[in-house]
Amino acid sequence: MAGPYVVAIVLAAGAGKRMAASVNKVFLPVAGRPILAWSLECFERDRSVSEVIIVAAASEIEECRQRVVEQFGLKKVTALVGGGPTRHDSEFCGLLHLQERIDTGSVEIVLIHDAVRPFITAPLVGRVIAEAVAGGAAIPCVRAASTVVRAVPGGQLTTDSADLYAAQTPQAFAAPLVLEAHRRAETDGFKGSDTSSVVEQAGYTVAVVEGSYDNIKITTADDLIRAEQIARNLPQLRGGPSFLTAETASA
Amino acid sequence: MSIAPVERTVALIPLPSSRQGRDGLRLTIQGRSILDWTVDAIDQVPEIASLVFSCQQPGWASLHDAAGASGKARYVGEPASGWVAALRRALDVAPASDRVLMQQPNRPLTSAAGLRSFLLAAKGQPAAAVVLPVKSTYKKVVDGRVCGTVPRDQLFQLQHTLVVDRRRLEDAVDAALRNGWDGADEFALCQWAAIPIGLVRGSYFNLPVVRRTDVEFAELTMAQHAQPAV
Repeated sequence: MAGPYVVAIVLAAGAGKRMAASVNKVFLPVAGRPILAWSLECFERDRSVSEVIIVAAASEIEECRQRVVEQFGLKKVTALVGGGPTRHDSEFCGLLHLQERIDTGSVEIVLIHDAVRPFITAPLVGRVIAEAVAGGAAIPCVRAASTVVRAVPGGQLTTDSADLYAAQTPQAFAAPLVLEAHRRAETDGFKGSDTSSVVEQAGYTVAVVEGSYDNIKITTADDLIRAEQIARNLPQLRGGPSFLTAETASA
Repeated sequence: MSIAPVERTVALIPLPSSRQGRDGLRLTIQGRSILDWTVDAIDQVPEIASLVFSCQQPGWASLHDAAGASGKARYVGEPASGWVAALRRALDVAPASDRVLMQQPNRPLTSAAGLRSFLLAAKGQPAAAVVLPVKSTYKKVVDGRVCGTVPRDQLFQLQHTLVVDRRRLEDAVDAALRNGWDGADEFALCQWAAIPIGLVRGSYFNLPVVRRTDVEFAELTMAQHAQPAV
């Protein structure tokens, strides 16, 4: 039986302020290839994902197309969409691009993924899709790797982090559910720090699946060193060598 | 013009009790052990007068004789069962001071400049801890379901470098031993003793080094920065 029609929305409009880089982080190289290319490779080879939409800063759409999509021959990317000033706004831009197809039911599941998490794997994507099909919304999470302190207003500190988990992407949702949640957020003026928070705000239940400590978010300069280490083991993680080779690059 | 009195600081390094922890400290980076890197950073901080090790197992006495380049005095507390009791023994042999800096031994990317900045930022506070803003969104999760999103700007990860007013720390340790308190670490002890803790931002490069992959990270970081991370 065929699975649901899944579209991945990849958010690539970040500015890279915390990296102090002169270019958008998604173009920084890891093991010789742009971070964005590593993220897209997983969706390109994963049969459960039918299509990919990239949301980029309007001024960088052509760069994304030429340096990544065309350079590496990524066939599943069907659109590059201009993003908004915040992550929340960029998510909504991606969803609005799909809204007609969501409303008619031809897009069933939407994955929202941060381009700066380049080390996702097919099993991880499979877990969130399966849970979203079952319950409408799912996100990958890992337990905090170190003690997390919460500084609540008034100066009090708490370290009760037993039930605290770090959320990752891709986050998977029944397409009508996440579009409706975002429309409601637009009406209410709510801005979420991730897609899940928008869906939570709308009153839906979000399931948690096991994430991966290798699924790092490249945010600061130290992450680039860690990323180079993980990239070396990526063939094992992804079950085969990368196709982001010089041959595909020159094709 | 008045000159502010210098706060005398003793550095205290709690040594691990597990064999895995002890072996981890012997991993080498650029030919030197992780413990050596951590101790050297402390040795280079002028505000730190001496170094004390707390231990729960025997076998660390040689640290007493291993003088650093700075020639600062080193002390090793008598081994004691439990980290709080070991901390008490270490404080017993530590020279008089106004503050105690507690530093995890497996942080070879700690720098002297970073420690100095921290001590300066923490001056006058009953206690202060080095932290980093978290990079991810955090969720409260119960039974496999998200119960809520925690505001990211309220969350910080601990780097397990802490400075505490000496008298308050000694009182807290004594109270903990009297009450049989058995919390996770020095930060938890300060919280339990209601010592106000300030938060001071550290460096993302300053990771604990416990595995071979961490050693590789540290090697690459040192190669890029030409010195331990700030």
